[in-house]
Amino acid sequence: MALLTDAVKKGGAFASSSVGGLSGAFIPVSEDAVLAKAAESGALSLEKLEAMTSVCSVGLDMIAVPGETPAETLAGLIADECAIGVMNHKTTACRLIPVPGKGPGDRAVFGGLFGEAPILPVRGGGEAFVRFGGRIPAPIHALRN
Amino acid sequence: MLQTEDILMTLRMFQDENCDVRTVTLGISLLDCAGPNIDVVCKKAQQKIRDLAGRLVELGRRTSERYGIPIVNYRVAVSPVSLWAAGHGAPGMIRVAKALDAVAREIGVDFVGGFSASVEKGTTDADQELIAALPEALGSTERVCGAVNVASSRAGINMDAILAVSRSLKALAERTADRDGFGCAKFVVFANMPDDNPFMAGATHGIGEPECVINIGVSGPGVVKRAVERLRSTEVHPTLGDIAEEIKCTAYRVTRIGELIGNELAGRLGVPFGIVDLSLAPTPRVGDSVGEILQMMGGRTGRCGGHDGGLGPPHRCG
Repeated sequence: MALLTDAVKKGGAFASSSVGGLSGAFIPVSEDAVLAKAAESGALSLEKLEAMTSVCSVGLDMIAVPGETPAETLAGLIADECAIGVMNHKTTACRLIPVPGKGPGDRAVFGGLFGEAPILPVRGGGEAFVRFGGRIPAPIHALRN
Repeated sequence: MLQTEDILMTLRMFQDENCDVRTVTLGISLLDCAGPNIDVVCKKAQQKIRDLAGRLVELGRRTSERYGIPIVNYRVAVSPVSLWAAGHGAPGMIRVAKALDAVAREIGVDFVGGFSASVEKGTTDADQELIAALPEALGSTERVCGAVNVASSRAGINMDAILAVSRSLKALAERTADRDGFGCAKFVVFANMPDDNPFMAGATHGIGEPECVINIGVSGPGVVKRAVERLRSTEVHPTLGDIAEEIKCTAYRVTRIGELIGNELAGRLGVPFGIVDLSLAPTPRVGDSVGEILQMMGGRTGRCGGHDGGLGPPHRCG
C-alpha cells in the first residue's frame, strides 16, 4: 500500500503542477468489491485497515459496524484515526456506518456506487479515555524520529 | 510524434480499464450569503449556485464528448455551512441543507458538499448547531454531504467534538435505518481536512480558496492493475522497483487527462482551474478495485503488506 500510494503521488506530481486534494489510494470497503470480500472472509480486519490508513490517502472509509456500537466506542475509533493523521502530518478520515439492527455476520447494502459490505466487529474498551473529554494537545514539531 | 502503441494504450485505458474523470467539482464561496434572515440566506445561496454551476453539467458533457473522456460525476462544494449560516440555530441549518438539496437537484449535480465545520481547536455555537442538525439535515436530504474536521497537527484532537459527532452519527444512522444507515455514508470526520478535495463525501470549499474554482478527481484503479498485470506477464522477474516505476508512469498518464479536462472546462465556465486530485478511487465494478491492485502485487495470497492481513486465503508454507 505504501509503494502504491507513493508511486501514484510521484507520477502525478510530475504530470501536473496543480496536484492537490487527497491524492493517494482510497480503501472504502463497501465501494471496493475485493476489499469487501476480503473483509467478509476475515482476511482483512478493522485493525489491519486502520494500519493501512497510516500509508494510504485517507482512512477508515465506508466501514459498516454493528448498530449497537456505543457512541463512545465510535469516538474511540475516530480518535485513533485522528491520532494517525495528526502525528504524521497527513489527512486521515472516518466514514463509519453503525447499521441499525445488524451485527457481525450480517451485510449492509447501500446500493449503486456505495456498494455493500459485511458488518465488521468492533472491540470496545476505550470508552473511559474518551469520557475524559477536552483536547489532546498538538504534537511537538521538532525531535522527529 | 505520436506512436501507434501510445494511442492504443490511451484507448484501452478508457474502453477496457475503467479509466475516467471520476468527478468534476465546482467549489463556490457562499460567505457573502450570510445574513439575519434565514429565508434570504437560503435564496441567496441557491441563486449563487444556480448562476455559477447552472451550466456545469452541460459544459462538462460537451468537454467529455470533445475528447472522448468519460466524466462520471458532477458536484458542487460550498463554503462550510457553519460559517455562513450562523445565528439561526439547528433549525436554520436544516433549512439550509434542504435549500442546497433542492438546488443540487435543479442543476443536475449528484452531490453538494460543504455541510461542514472545523472544530479542531474549539467549537462555536454555530458549529454545535451544525453537529446537532446533522441527523435531520443529512437524513432528510438526498444530495447533501457533510464533514467535520475534529483534529489537526497544529491544534491537536478535540475529543469533546469527536464524542458529539459520534452521537450525531448514531442518530443519523437511526434516521436512515430503512437504508442500513445510509445517511452516514454522506458524512466524513476528518483530521487535517484539505480545502480543495473534490471527492465526496468530504468535499468542502475551504477558507483560502478563490470565489469559484474547478477541481478534478481522476481515477483509474483498473488502469494501474492492468499495468502491473502486463508487467508481470512480460518481465521474467519484475522487482518492486519495477512495479513502482510502472505505477508511476501510469499515474502520470491519468493525471495528464485530469489536467486536460480541468483546464478545458475551467475555460468554458470562465473560472480558474484549481487542482487535480489523483486518488485511486474504487467502485464496486469488477476491474475498478484498489484491492485488485494489491492482489496483483501480492500474487495468489494478495497480501496488502509485507506481513499480515492478506486479501486472500492465508499463505501456506511448505
